[in-house]
Amino acid sequence: MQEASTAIYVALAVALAVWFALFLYLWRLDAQAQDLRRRLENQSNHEPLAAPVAKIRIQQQESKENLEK
Amino acid sequence: MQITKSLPQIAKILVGFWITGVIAAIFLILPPYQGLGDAGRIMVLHVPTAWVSVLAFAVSAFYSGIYLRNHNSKDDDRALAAAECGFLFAVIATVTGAIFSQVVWGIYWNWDPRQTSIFVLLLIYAALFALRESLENVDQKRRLSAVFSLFAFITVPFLIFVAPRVAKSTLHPNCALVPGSNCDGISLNEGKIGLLGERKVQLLAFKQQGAIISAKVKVSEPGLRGETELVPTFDLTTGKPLATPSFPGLRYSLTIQQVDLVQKSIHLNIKAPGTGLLENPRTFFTFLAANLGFTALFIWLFQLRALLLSLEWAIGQRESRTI
Repeated sequence: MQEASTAIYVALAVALAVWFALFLYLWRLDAQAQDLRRRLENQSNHEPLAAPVAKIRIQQQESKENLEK
Repeated sequence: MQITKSLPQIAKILVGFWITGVIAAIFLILPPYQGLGDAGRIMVLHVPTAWVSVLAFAVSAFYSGIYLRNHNSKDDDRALAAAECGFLFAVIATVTGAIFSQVVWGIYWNWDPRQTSIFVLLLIYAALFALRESLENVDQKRRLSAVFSLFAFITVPFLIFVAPRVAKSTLHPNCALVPGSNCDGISLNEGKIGLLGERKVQLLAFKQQGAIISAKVKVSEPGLRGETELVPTFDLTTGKPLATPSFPGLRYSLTIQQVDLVQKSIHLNIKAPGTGLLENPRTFFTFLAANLGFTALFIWLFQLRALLLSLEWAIGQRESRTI
C-alpha cells in the first residue's frame, strides 16, 4: 500500500519532468524562430535592389540590340 | 501596444501552467478508475490526444483547400504543419491506447476495429509525408499534397467515428463517452439465447426475492471455448444493478440494466471499464481541462511548425538567389 502511494508520486514527478523539458524546448525553439523571422524581415527590408535591376537592364539592352540587328 | 505584443507569450505561459495543472490533476485529483485502479488515469491523456488529432487533420484539410484556391506557400506550410501535429497526436493516442489495452485485456495490440482504423489513418498520413518527400517540383508537391490531404481527411470521420462503431465486435469502451454506441445490451426471457459482444449468453433462470432480482446466466466464450455461469443481481427499489460478476479472465462484467416483470424478461449488458466514467465530476472536469489544454498546445505547436517551415522556405530562397 505504501509502495503504491509512493509510486503515484514518482509517476507524477516523471510526467511533470517530461512536460517541463518539452515546454522549455518549445519555448526556446519558438523564441529562436521568432528572432530569425525578425532578422530575415529586417534584412529583406534593407536589401539593395541594385542587383536584380541591373540584370533586367542588361537583358533589356540585349533585347534592344537583338531587335536592331 | 506592449500588452498586445506580449499576449502570445502570456498565452504560451498559460498553456504551460494549464497542462502542468492537468498532469497534477490526473495523478492527484482523479479518482481511481473503477475496475482498473491507477492505470485507468491514462484515459485522460488518451481521449484528448485522439480528439486533437482529428482537429489537426481538419485544420490541415482546411488550409489545403485554401492553398488550392490561393496558391500561397504559407497555406501549404500551415496544412503540412497541421498534418504533422495530427500525426504526432494520433501516435500518442495509439500508444496510450495500447498501454490501456495491455492493462484491460492483457495485450498491447489485438487488431481491434478501433486499433485497426487508427493504424490505417496513420498509414494514410504517413503516405502524405512520403508523397511530399518523393516530389522535387515544389508546385507539383504542394498541389498534390493539398489534394491528398483533402481526400485523406474524408476518411477521418469514417475511420475514427464510424468504422469502430459499425463493427459488432470491439473491445473499445465506447460507452464511456457515447452512451448507447455498441453498448445496447440484450433483452432475454427465461431459456432464451443472445449475443453480448462476442459472447453467447443464455438466461437460464431468474428469481425474485423481495425487491432483489437475481439471474442465472450461462456465458459461452467466443468459439465456444468455455462456458461459465454468472449470477448478476438487480435492486427493484433503486432501479440499479447490485452484483455485477466479471467475465472469466476479463475486467468486463455482466450487469442487469432493466427488469420487465410483466414480460418476464431482463435486459443484460456488458459493463466495461470506462462505463459511466464521466459521471464523476472530478473526472469530467479534469477531462474537459485536458481537452482544452491539448487543443491549446496543438495551436502553439501548429503555429511554431508553420513558422519553421516558412523560415526554411525563405532561407532556401535566399540561398538559391545568392548562388
